[in-house]
Order: sequence, then structure tokens, then C-alpha cells
Amino acid sequence: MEWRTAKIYKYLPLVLGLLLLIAVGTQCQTTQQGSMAGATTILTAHTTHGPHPTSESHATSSEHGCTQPGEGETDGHSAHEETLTRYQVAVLDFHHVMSPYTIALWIVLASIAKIGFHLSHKVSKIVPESCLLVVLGLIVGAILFLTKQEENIHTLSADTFFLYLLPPIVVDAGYFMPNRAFFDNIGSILTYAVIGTLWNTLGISMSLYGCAQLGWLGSVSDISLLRCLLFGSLISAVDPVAVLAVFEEVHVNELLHITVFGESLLNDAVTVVLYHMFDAYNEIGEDNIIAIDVVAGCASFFIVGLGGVLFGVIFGVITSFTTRFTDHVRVIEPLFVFVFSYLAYLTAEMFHLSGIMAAVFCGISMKNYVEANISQKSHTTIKYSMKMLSNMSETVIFMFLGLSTVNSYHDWNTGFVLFTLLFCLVYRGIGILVLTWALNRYRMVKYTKVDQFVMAYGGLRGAVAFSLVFLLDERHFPEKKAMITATICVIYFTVFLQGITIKPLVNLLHVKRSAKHKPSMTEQINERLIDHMMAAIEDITGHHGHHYWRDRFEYLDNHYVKKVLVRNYREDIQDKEILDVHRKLNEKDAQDMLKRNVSFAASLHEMVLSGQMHIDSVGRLLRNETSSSNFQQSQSDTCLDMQAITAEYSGKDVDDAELHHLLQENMYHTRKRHKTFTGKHMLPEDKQNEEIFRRNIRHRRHRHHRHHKRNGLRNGCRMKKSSSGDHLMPPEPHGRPRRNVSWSDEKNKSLVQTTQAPVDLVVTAEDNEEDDDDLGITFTAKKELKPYDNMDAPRAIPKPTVAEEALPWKSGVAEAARAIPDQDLLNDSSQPSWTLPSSPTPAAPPSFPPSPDQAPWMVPEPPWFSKQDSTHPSDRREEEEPMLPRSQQQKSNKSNPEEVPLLPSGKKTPSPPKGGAKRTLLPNQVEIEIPDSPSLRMDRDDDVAERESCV
Amino acid sequence: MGSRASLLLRQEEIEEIQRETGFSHNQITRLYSRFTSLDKSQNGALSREDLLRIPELAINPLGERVVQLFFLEGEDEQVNFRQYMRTLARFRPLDPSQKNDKEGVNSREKKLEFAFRMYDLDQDNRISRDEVLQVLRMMVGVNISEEQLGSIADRTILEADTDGDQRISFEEFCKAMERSEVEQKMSVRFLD
Repeated sequence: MEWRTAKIYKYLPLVLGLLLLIAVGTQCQTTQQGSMAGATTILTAHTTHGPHPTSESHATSSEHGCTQPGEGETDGHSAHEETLTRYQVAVLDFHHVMSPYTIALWIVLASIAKIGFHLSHKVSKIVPESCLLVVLGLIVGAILFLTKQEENIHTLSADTFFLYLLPPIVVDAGYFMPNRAFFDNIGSILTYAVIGTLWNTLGISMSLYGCAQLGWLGSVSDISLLRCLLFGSLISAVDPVAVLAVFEEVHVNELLHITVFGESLLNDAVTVVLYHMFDAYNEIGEDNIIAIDVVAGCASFFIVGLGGVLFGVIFGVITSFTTRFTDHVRVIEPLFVFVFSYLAYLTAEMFHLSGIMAAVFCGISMKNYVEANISQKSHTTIKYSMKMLSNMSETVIFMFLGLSTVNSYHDWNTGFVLFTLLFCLVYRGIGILVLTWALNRYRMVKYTKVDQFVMAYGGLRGAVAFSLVFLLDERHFPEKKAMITATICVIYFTVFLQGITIKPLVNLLHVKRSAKHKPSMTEQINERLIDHMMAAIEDITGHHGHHYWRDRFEYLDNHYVKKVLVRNYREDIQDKEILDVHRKLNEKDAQDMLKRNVSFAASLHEMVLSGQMHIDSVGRLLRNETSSSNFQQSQSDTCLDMQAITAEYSGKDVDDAELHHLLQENMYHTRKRHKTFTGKHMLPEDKQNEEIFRRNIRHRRHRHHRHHKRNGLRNGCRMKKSSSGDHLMPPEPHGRPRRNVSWSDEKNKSLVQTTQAPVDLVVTAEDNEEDDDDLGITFTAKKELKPYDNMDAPRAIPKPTVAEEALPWKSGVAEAARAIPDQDLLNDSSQPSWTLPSSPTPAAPPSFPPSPDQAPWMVPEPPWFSKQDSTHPSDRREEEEPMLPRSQQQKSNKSNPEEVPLLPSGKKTPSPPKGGAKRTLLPNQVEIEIPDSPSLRMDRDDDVAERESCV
Repeated sequence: MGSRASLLLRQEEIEEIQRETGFSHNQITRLYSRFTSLDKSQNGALSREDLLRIPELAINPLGERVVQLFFLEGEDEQVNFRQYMRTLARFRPLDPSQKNDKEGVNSREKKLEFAFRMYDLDQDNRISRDEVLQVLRMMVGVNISEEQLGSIADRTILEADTDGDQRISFEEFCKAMERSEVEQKMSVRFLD
């Protein structure tokens, strides 16, 4: 309680959370009677009923003897039963929501506690979070205990733990397992996990049995060997949750981490086998065990372990294969990863196989393929959801661990506790020493003495043992209470003492830390080179070592597996890591560069001019800088080239524009590939604008609709403008017609939001269009739409890139446009709509879907992608497109000179070029190719400069 | 097989190789049996074809390049067992005791040198952009644009090149690979 002496406000959340929890506990107490257990039991009991208690709340309540109407305010429940109760205005029906409510409150409390811990750097630096959570659980448990609400405190139910709390953690562990490190050390990990755990189990249980025989264990001295073995099997397993919680804060080197962590995951198979085996033996009875039971027990080792792996891999493959086809429904991609991993876990549990193995191997096997299939956003979603879920589980587990400790279900047996603890430590140490000695004879990278110490010291026990010991049947295990106490003591000792001291010890012993440094291109290439080279050397020497097997596996993977599991897999490009690293480095550089100043752009320009760099890749990244005149000489040693593979050599401008937006969004999209997008299933952020926009428009339209039944085109445009640019702008006071009546949308079937608003008609998401979800929307103006007159340029549009400005005139679109005479230009639906017709004739709809004869990347660029000034489009049209009648232009400008016309698509400006660019990408490709020649580049610059001057 | 191979190999030869390369007696006999099984022409020396006949090498993108390095020592297109062993000696694991030993046949420098030679085809002790490009092409594949690979090669050179000659010298190469655990990565646990 020395916390109170510190600034108390820091712990306000914690205190609040505590109060909240106590309130909940009390509430439970008052509303439930007798057997209805408190919060914890509710969590346990109700979770098994699924997360929808609303539908079955009454059934659930009655099941748990909760039918008695609560006193006081919670009589909403009884209202249903007593028909005479009058209708009530306000009801408090806590029972209705009790179970999910309690669960939610627990989670909130735990999370708030977490925040509280991290507010104090002093505490959180010294004590691992897991310990603090246990302490919190202890405090809460003690309060509930002391307030005589003991029946409210129940233990962490094994079902809750194994079916709900553990899976998120192991799924997370498997999915984010560093595969290379894991498989490079799989031999050692398996040795520690299997032989080490077996050794621990046998050693601890035999020693305990010996002590019992010697009569040192007091009340448990009559324990049978089988019961000892069972206890040994559950106490000997290193716990993945505890290890993860502690080692994540310690940052030891990868080898050490993967060894301890991998062991803690894989020993689950051994624990499961031993536990079930000894449990079964115990039920059969020591005297009735025949040889076949023993043989079956040994066989089940392989079944349980390999079966778990098998289920994991099967589900991993299913997941990968499924995500191959999710390119139209990106939103559910993360779901597949979660649910299939969970299914793998549950399926394995169903067969009493190792669920942890299944989930881990499911994650390991699916990761590479899933990552290649899903979108970047799904990747982020998976990453954060998984981390969040596992973190939440971990928090709850540790809190419940503390909470479950405080009850009267204990039997303190000093001898038993101390001997258990002693044997746990001793056998762990011996096991590690012996096994490491054996392993080091075969290992290239040997475990040092310090490594061994950390590995032995990191053998934390945790909630798995705790849950297992509670699963014991007291009829067969009269020593259950003593076992629980001993288990809790071991857990507390390892989690607290070892957990707290491991960090200082690691510092003291100078354990090699995880080295984090920016990967360099040289290293990446050389690592791949060395991999291949070593595989070749092993081939030549006929030695089948790591490199050989990895090479074999990679070959199989690249030539067969990926073909099936990865969408649009390109077999002809190998070692994509090199390209990935290159792209990431480039993106990082570009980011840095953009953060720096203009002079860098200038230097880039210099480099471009001197031919050192591929200009198109970089130049237009600096959209404004390129045209600024104050070029300064500056040396930069960064090679910036955003080019990458593609067979397409065209559409460079589109690509460039796309690239620009990419960079502008803080390099968010580290991976790009051909992604698709289906209308309303996605809500990417660039669509949000659109949504808001639409909603505003609709709102405004309705308002206008009420006031002005007949609208004219002119004001319709006005309205549009105000909607897009300035939502707060009041509607036009005058009653001039706002809409052209001919803006009917009955033919406009593809509109997602079918409305009467002209604005909605102008641009819509093309739902069937294959598109990237990052791209947002492809713009299509429908033929039947009335063209918008007096629209010049949009407001509130991001500044276009140089490439975008230059785009329609430099790319093939412009060429196509030139080739088509005026009238066609206005009528042809394949024409870009930046040829804004000013006449209100409905015959000339501006529409610009990519026509089939155009190359796919040539998405026509609307003019509003260029500079925002109103004169701009016409200027350009004059310069670049002489075939557009000038009169029209002038009319267009004149008719509404004071208005900046709305282009409804303005909000979505960044999308179309992306859409265009994305399509140039070959599947699975990481980058875009932007071939260009310096001369063309100069051209464009001139063009830009000219336009800038116009502005 | 091992005993038969050792019969073909005279004891003093084994001892000499042992001194020179640090391989153990068993390792030498084992490798010698491998050597003879590769040597289809039975003339006590391997030709390029002998090595390239290994099926796994055929699918290794750099297999040919590695084979080439085996023939650096010999003047003619043959490599005898001594030369074969000398090349392989680089890949012996490094004992922790000899960490700072730069002269050993399996020192970090020797290992790095082998990797360096993988690039340096013309043996001018400089890796040029073209040489990087060639290796890249072998690894990544041919269906990738010249620009893309070129920019990767440029970047690689730029990163490592400290004296600004647009090429990577061996010193620069070692410097660039400073953080990499080459000793471990470029070691084969030869069976005893």
C-alpha cells in the first residue's frame, strides 16, 4: 500500500476499477442466492452457454437456481412471472444481462488495472505485469473473502481456461512465431519439450513418492505412486502464458527466447498425454493396469503430439486455401484466421489431442500463405486483434489466478509444498544441464552457461498447471487440496520470485539481447546468397543438414504448395524477401525524405538529371517540391527508387500518382498486390469520407426536396457544391429550382445508395469493379445522368501530384481523347468526364468508365485531380485538347463564375489513380514499374511549371 | 564405404590434410568417400560436370556459381581431393577459442571471402554493379525487370561502398556484413 503515498491520482483508474468490481460482486451477492456463485462462476457457467444470453437468459438463470426474484430494484425479472404486475416504465433487469455484463466488467477492470500499472514506471519496470495482475486478483479476492462473500470467489474454471482463455494466447503465439528461428532450432526445442518434461515429471513424482514413503510429507504421505505421477505431470510443464508474459519484457536474444518459448508450447503435448494417461490409470486402479495400458499410453504420445500437429496443419492449409478466394470480401479475412485456428484448437481438444500444438502449428503453417493472400489492412487487423485478444486473455488469466487463490479450499502441508518446490527447481536445472550438454555436441550455435541458466530459471509454471490441478477428481485424489496449495505455491514462486528477478539477472549476466537493427540491402541479399550457397555446399558434401532440408522445403513450397494456396502466385520470381526488403527500405527512405526539406528534393532532381536515378520513381513523390524553383545542391547518399517488378511498362503516370498517395499515407501499405474490393463489404477509411459525404448529401437533398419540389439544374449544382465543400452552408434561400428533373436515377441501378440526389448520381462506387480495397472507388458517371454544368474544379481536394496533373495529357488517355472528335467526346461514354460539358443537355453525359479497348491501367483521370483553381481545367483543355469547343469552356466558366463547382467525386480523389495503378500490378507483385525517360520527365516538369505559373 | 575410402587414401595424405584443413580423420574419410562417389571418371579428380551432376545442385539457383568456386584453386578444369578439402575447410565451424584468429582456414574472413567470391566473377577483388546484378538475377529469377533489379543492385552497392568507387571491395564487403553472424551461417556440421 505504499502506492498511496505516491501521487494518488495516478492510481485513480485502479481504485475506480476495484470499486467497480466490488460493486459487481456485491450486486451478484444480493441478486443471487445460495448456489448461484459470484462473478467468477457466472463467467464460467455462462460462457459455456455462448455469448448470447439474451435469448436464453431465463433458462440460464433458472438452471443456476437463480429463479428467485431479487429484492429491491431487480424485480424486472419477476415482472415476467407475476402476470399481475403492471407495465413498468423503467425496469432494471440485471439478470437479463448479468453474465455478459459481469464478463465485460471483469475485462474492463483488468484492462484498467493494466493502465494503472503502466502509469507508474517505477513499479512496472521492476515487477512484471503478470505479477501485478496476480496481486490485484489477490486483493480483490481478499476483499471478497473478508466481506464474507466467499462463495462469490471461485476458481479459474478449467473449461473457461482451456476453451476460452488459452486459445487466443496460443493462436497468437503460433501465428507470430518466428518460423525460421523456430525450425532452425526445432530439434533442441523438441528435446527440451519432450525429454525435458518427461524427465521433470518422472523426477519430481518419483522424488515426491520417495519423500512420502519416508513420511516427510505429513498428511499426504499415503499418496500413491500414480497420484504422484499425475501431480508431477501437471507441475512439471513450463507454462507458455507465464513464459510469454515474462520473456516479452526481458528481450533476450532470439535463440534463447525461441528455445524457452517453443519448449513451453510444445511440452503441452507431453503434459496432455501424461495427464490423461495417469488420470486414466488412476481410475483403472494401480493393480488393474496391464501391459496393454502402458503400451497404449506410450502410443498415445505420438498420437497426441502428431495428431495435434496434423490437425493444425490441416486447418492451416484450409485457412490458406480459403483466403485465396477472399479477394472480394476482404472484411472477413481476419475472421478466417481466427476461427480456423480456434477450430484447430477445439478439434484437437475434442480428440484429447494437444490443442496447443494444433493451434501453434495451424498458425505456423498458414502464416506465409495467408499473408500473401490477404490485404494489408487485414494483416493489420489480424495483428492487432490477435495481440489484443491474447493480451486480454493473459490479463484475465493472471487476475483469476490471484483471485482463485483466496479461498478456503487449501490444505497447507509444509513438507509437500517445500519438497515440490525444491524438486521443481532441482530437476529443471539438472534437466537443462544434461540436455544442453547433449545438444551442444550437435549444435552449431552452442548454448552457453548463461543461456542454460536463463533457460532453467525461465521455467515458469502457470495457469495450465493451476487449471489442471483443479480438474482433478477429489474422489480419486484425496490429496487434491494439498496439491492445489502446492501448485499455487510453485506458481507464485516462479512467477513472482523468478519473474521479478530474471530481468536484473539477465542484465547482470550480460545475456545477449535481441539485436534489432535496420536490415540493409546488402545483408538481406547476402543472407539469401549464403542460404543458397550453404545448401549447395551441403549438396556437394552429401551432408543432409539444416540447409539441405530447408532448401528442399523451400523448393517444394515454392513450386507446389504456393501454387495451390496463394492467389496469383508467380513461380518465376523467387526470393521475394529481397524485393520486400528493398521496397521497405525505399519506402522508409522516401518517408524520411518527405519529412526533410525541399533541398532534398532538389538533390534528387540533380541525381535524376545526372542519370543516377530513375527519375519517375522519385521525382513526383515530391509533388510540390519538384516544381519549386529553389533547387539547392545537396548531397544525399540515399538511393531512392521506387521501382519494382512488373511486366507492364506503361501507365507510369498512374503508377506514379498511386505511389505518391502511397507515400503520403505514411508508407502504410508495405505490401501491395492485386487486391479486390467489393462495394459495401468494406469500409476502408477512404470510403468513410464518401460515406459521410453521401450522408450529408442525402440529408441536404431531403431538406431541399421538402422546400423545393421543383429544382433546377443550376441550383442543384449549387447545392452539390455546398454539400461537398461546406456542409454547414445554409441552403439557398431563393426558391429557384435546384435540380434538373432529368436527373432521374431509375436507370442507375449500380448506385449503392439510390437516391435522387444529383450528386449521388454523378459518381458511384463501381461495386463489381475489381479493385483494391485500398483504392476505394472507381468513378463512373452514368450515361443517363444529366451532366453538371458550371462545374470547374472541386474544393477541398488534396493537392494533386505532378503526375496527376500531367496525367491525362501525357498518358494514353489523352491520346485517345484527341483522336475523338468533339461530339464523340461528349457522347462517348468511354471518354473521361473531365471534358465537362457545359450545356445542360442530357444527351451528353460525362462518363468515364475504363473502356474495354483501353488498357486497364488507363483509368481516365478526372480533371479535378489537378489543381483546384477553377480556371485550371479549361486552361488545360485549351492547351491540351483543342478539340473541345472553346465556347463551351467559356460558357462553362461564365455561367457560374463565382461558384466553385462541386465534383462529387472530389472526396474520393486519391482513389482513382490508385485504382488505375493497382491494375497495372501483376498479382502478388510488390511494386510498380515506372519506366520513364528523362526527357519525358522534363517535359512534364515544364508542363507543371507552366501550370503553376498560371495558378 | 568409409573404410574402403580410407584404404584408397594413404595415411600420410590424411595427416597432411588434417594439418592443413583441421578436419578430423573420420571427417576426411567420410568426405573422401563422397568425393569418390562424385568422381564418375575415377581419375581422382572432379570435373565441373561431376559436381553439376548432383541433382540438388541443379535446382539451386547458385549451384553453378558455387561449383565454379571449387575450381578457383586448380589451374585446369579439375579439382583433386586436396583442393576439394581446402575449399570445404572454410565451412568448418569456428571454435569459440579461435574467434579472433584471422588466419585459420575456417576463420570468419575466409568464410566471407568465399561469399565475396560468389559475386566477384572476374576476380578483381571488387564487386561491380553488374556482378551484383548477375547474382540477383540468379536468385530472384529472370522475369523481373532490369530496372527493379538494377535499383536493388544500386542500393546494395551504395550501402556497402564507402570509398565511392561504385564497387565493393572485400574490406567494404566485410564491413557491410559486420552485424551478420557469418561464422554460424556459413558453417556446416561435418559428421564425424
